[in-house]
Amino acid sequence: MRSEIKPDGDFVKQWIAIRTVEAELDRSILSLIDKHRKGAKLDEAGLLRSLIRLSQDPEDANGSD
Amino acid sequence: MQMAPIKQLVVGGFRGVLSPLTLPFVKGKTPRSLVIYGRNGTGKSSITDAWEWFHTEKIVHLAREGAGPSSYPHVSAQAGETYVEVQFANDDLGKIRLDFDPKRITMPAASGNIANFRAIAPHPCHIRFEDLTRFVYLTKADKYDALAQLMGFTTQVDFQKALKRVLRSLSDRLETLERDVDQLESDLSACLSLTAVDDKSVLKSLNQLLARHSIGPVASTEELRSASKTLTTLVEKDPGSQELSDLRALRKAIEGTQLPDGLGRNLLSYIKLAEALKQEERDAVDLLLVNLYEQGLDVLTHRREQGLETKNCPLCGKPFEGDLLDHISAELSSLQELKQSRDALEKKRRQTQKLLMPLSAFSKSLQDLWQEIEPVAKQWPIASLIAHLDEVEKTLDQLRDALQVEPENITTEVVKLMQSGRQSLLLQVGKLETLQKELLHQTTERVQILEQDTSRAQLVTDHTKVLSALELWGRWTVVHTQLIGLQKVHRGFQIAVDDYIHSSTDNVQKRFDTVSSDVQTYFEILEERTEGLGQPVLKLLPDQDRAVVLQVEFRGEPVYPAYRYLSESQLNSFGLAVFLASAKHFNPDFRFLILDDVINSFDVYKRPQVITLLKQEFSDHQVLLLTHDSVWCDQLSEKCPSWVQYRFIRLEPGSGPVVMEGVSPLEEIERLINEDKPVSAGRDMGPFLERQLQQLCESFGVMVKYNQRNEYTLDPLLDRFCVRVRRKLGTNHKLYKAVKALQEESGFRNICAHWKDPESPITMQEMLAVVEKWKAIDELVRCKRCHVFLQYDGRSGFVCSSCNITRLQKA
Repeated sequence: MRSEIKPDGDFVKQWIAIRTVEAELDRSILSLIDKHRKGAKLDEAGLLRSLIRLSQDPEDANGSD
Repeated sequence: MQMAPIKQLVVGGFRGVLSPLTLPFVKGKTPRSLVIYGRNGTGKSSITDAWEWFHTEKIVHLAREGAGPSSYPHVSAQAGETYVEVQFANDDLGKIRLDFDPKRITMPAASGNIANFRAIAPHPCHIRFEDLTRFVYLTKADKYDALAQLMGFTTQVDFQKALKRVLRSLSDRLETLERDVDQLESDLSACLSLTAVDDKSVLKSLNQLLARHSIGPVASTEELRSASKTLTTLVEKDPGSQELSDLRALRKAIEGTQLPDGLGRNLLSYIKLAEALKQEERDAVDLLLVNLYEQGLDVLTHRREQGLETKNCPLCGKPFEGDLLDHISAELSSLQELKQSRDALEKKRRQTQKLLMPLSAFSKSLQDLWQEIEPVAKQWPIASLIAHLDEVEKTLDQLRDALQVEPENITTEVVKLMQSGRQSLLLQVGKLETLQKELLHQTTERVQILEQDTSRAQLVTDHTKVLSALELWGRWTVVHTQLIGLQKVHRGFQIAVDDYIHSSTDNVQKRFDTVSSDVQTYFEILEERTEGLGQPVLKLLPDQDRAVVLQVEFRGEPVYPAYRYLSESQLNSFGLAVFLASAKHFNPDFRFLILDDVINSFDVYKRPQVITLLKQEFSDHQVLLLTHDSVWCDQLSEKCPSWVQYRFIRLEPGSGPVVMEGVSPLEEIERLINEDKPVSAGRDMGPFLERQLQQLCESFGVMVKYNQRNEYTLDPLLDRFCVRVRRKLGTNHKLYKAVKALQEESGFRNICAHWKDPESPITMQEMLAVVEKWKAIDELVRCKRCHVFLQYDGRSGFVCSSCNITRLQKA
């Protein structure tokens, strides 16, 4: 059974933390989402760039800029 | 945990407040709730804005209007004068101040433990009238966003939208790569006559070609490159083969300079469409208004379905003569026709742009090949063709520039440029075709001679195929690898985004479930007087992104979606219920609420229900209430005497709100008596008594003769009230005696006769006696604990509706 996200609190932070532990989603992608968020804000252009880089070089799991 | 978390709020240099404005919440030594009365434009909303900024560092409703942090300081505030300071009752929080930094307007400087405060209060504490009204007119997705604001999950919805935008961009990129791969596969298939493109098939086909020229099989791109060089050497060794190869390339280059079929027709129809759009009565720029008119039509139709007429323009507020709905429908219809014309022109523009491919690459090939075959082609008109192509290219450039202009920006000059470009092209095409035809004829004749040697023809054909295949296969390998990588990442990201949306929806549903019981309770208190309405339930639509609908029970039947059936006021009740329930549940450690003019949207009879709701369900909360309804404010002060009161008298542009301590109506009357102004006191006492007696008669279930003229109603109200008290409590009851005493008071009779049109003066002593006698009654008919009027219990007593204790019984 999947862990529950509490109805109150920081949803985005909880979601990333729980899904990373569960390992049902692609961890390198979760890691990129986490890397490009500041609180609940997302650096969309940065995440897109990193995802494309990851697709071209799967070894570069961190999608370093 | 403190019952009332705030002791004092100070706002300086912020929005409408210039001089520091201090709002103490303390009465005696205890922090209390606070009500601020002020007419519109006296600066009340600056307080809510200041709180929102202090809590979240932004002001959402201003951002919606395009006003950012630079609009937060008062126009005359100097650097360092814009701040909000809160003194908390909780010693751990103490005093916290947030200063606006003019150099970094989005990064205010905080002193004190603001992070701790925000951790204790993670949920919005404030709500404005406009937050409730927005709820009425929005689409399903927008309602979801409005609920997100009321329930404090805006950030997770914003994150969801951001993830979806990234997914869309990734999908677009994937689509482009798929198109590129398809094109390369199609070219490669045509080149090698393949049915499917993969490394094995490509190598097999190429090895068959190479074998014809005794070149051994290859197994990789590298080996193929080497084999192609061997083949090139074979071609170069035979001058005839080299010439044939060059001539075939020349023929291909000449064919490449042919203008596409249909270019002339496309240019003509584009010009006609552009001219037609220019002749429209309306400017294409007006198309920006289409969304506005569509929303306007939705709103007006919605109102008409509810039986509401809209006589004023919802944008400018000015009266509209005629049927506004018909007018907006006609305007929208005209704009939609204009949009169709614009869209047709845009489609044609894009089609034509695609036909205007540059000819320069073919010119360059012609130039290079000409040098290779010069001895054979000395007399051929290649130079003329190249020179003429330069002229044609200039014309095409002119047309390309004109086609860059989007339909909204097309001017008469642009249309003229298109027309002259088309004319030039028509003139140039004849010469171009003649030169192409002559050159193709000469080239083909020479090719036919060389192709009489079939082995030579085969060698040149295979050589061309191998070179093309090598180039296409190399590109295909790179792009195909990129595609596979992107498909994998896209799939993984899509699953993550879907999971986020699913989790967020579950989370929101849990929030709904958590607060739903309270939402029902609060909604039913607010709508207590609406017969048959209740049981509101929020439902998420799982198959739609960010869609939520409301269901209510109407006369026992579930109504879904309820937005179509509820009035604006009922929807506002629902919105307020959701906000209050969410604030209660999601800020359990910070029980503070700001309600900014929220009763505006409620009918007058429903406004007291807000007081009832606050008293019944939020007695453990501290409330900052802002209102411009003085009657309602007086009702609040009677029912909640412990609240601190302020009045914003006016707004001084050079300083801010002019504030005075608020007093109850009776205290104001006593002040006038003390200042020896009995006539003024009498004028205030009349409406005050009338309002009090109307409420009392309702609570006591008194039957009063209806008076449509609304004149001199005090006497019959008190008379019938006296009869009711005598019948239910008896003539020995002290309430009956107190009522009789007031009834017999000459001052009261003077007020009855003259308060609406005073002719004879009333004395100070008479006024004093009336006030004292009214106070004696008020003390008996009001619950001492709950401060509300008692209600007839339907049998023989009078009970407090709040604490349910019987306070009056027959003597």
